[in-house]
Amino acid sequence: MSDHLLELRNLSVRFRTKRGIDAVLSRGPGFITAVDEVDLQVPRGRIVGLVGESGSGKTTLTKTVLRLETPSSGEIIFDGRDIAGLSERQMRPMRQRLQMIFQDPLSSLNPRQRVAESLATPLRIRNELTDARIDERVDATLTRVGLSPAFRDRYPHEMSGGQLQRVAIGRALIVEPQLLVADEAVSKLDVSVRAQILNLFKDIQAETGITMLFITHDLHVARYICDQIGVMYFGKLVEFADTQTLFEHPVHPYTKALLGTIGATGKDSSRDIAGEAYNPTTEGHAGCRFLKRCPLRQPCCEQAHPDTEEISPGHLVQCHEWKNAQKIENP
Amino acid sequence: MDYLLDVRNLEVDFAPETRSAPVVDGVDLRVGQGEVVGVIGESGSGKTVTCMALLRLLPQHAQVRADCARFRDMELIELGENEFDALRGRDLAMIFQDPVGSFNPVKTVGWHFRHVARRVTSKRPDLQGRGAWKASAVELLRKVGIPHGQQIIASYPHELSGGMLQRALIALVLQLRPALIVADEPTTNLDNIVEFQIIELFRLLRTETDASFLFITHDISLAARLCDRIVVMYAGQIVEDGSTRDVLDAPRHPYTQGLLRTATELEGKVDRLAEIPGELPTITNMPSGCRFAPRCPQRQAVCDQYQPMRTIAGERAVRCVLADSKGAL
Repeated sequence: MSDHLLELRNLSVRFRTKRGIDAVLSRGPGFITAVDEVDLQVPRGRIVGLVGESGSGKTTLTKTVLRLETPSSGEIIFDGRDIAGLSERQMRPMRQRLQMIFQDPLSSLNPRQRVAESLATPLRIRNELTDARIDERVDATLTRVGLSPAFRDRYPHEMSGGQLQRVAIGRALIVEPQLLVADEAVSKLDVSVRAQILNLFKDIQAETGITMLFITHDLHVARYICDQIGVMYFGKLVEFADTQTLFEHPVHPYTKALLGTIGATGKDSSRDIAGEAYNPTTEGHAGCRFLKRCPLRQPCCEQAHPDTEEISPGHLVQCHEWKNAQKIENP
Repeated sequence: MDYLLDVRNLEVDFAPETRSAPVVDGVDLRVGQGEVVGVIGESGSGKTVTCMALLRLLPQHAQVRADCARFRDMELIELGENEFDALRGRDLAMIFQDPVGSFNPVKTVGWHFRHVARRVTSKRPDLQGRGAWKASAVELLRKVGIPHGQQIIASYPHELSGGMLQRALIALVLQLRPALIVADEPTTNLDNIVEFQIIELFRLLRTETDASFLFITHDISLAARLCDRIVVMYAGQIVEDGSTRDVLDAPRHPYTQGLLRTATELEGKVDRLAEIPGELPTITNMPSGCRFAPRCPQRQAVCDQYQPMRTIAGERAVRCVLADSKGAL
């Protein structure tokens, strides 16, 4: 058994943006590469975070892992098996092993189903348990996520955002998945409720040892919950390290800028970052994606996006110039 | 002190017969000349409705009452429609959360600047002549961090990124030279780095213009970076009001203390976050006494009764029975 529950190898997801004559006549690429040759390893029993701004491809990546999107190339090794090419039918028995929690709990629950039905549905589909056993599991799951069994008969509109997110977490857990994917699962919650849900994730992980992929744009949240963090920028995984290393010794200029916005680095690097981002709809894929905003840019950065380099065990970076930058900062 | 905006006991209600309490209940809000006041609260706290009521942007059936709602020497609630129209979009300006929705999608950014310039010619004779708006627009865009203003003016909103549009919207508001700018979560829809840059821009603007700001946000650390004074709202009421330093250094309301604890713990390193237990009360189910009492770790029997704002010293006020004792921390 591999140490990694999930391993992405050279994974790319492309979306066509222009069709027919338009694709032939217009300038710029006819597709957007939302996930661009990403390699990522998620160890068993750990929480791996992905951070990045809107458009960085973090949501597309997670949807592809769950095969809600089809990858254009690359492999998705889940528990030793490549699921990238599985058909819908072949994927079906895998689904209970990979569960997802979305940003907006209200729209991810059926408004006409009571909580107990929402929770029981995945078990009914499996058709392995008796109704009495399913009932027990529903009650146990509600308790597990911090809701009293009195919530069984509630409809989604009768509940607050925090309670709904608890139900959504319960529904994902009730089938006992191996991998839990949470996409911005706390960003729509009120500030005073957010800590409760974050603690719930931590407790569940500690108790069940489940593996999690946790997507967020909030660096504080990522640091609190994740063991390892990957930073994405326009489809590329530009830096990956364990949480402490990433926060204490960030190497990629984009990571440094992100951390600068929350004052995590002594130096305020976000001021050096130009406002205009890379525009994937009009620009080609020749140079480094971060080129336009990068304070370190050199002629070589216009030639190609840098390859992944392991600068210390488990610390991966995609940057041509990181060494020179460190020389300037620590001569 | 003379206030630019002085609101006392503001109440807003939409359908009183179905509610247990008004949506905004007894809000006092004062903004001095050139002052930046942050209104902090979660969803449903009434922070947005308060500001919308002052700008008269609520739907017709909203019932707005106040003992006093004075802007300069005018009573905002009593003003006629025409007089109010003359004020809004000239002296009173608003920046919304979603910059895309603030622009007309079929008009260029320049069209908006020309439109706004025409509105303020009485106040700004320099904007009169043909094409005069253009020079001023380019200059303002440069000020908000867009060097190639000429190009932006010719662009349509969908051609610009969210951060770019929010900058353009801020420039547009500056062209009005308003006395009071109300900004409702102006960076919530933006990415981290852009959000940071826009907050830096606001910090720069507050020293460069003499406008006052009412800054609405759910993020207490963001307000801390920008505001002179902080007003904390919870479930339709103000629960704490004071200078930013006082509120951050010595929060007196248990709710403010909880918010700050979560924020500081997330910024520091802890093994486990402290939680505020429970959920926000809903408008149909408002506690009759202190509205935070069901979640409060320091609840007492007296908290079941209505709690007024208690002035501690000068401008510092807290809606908590513990404020009378030496402090709740």
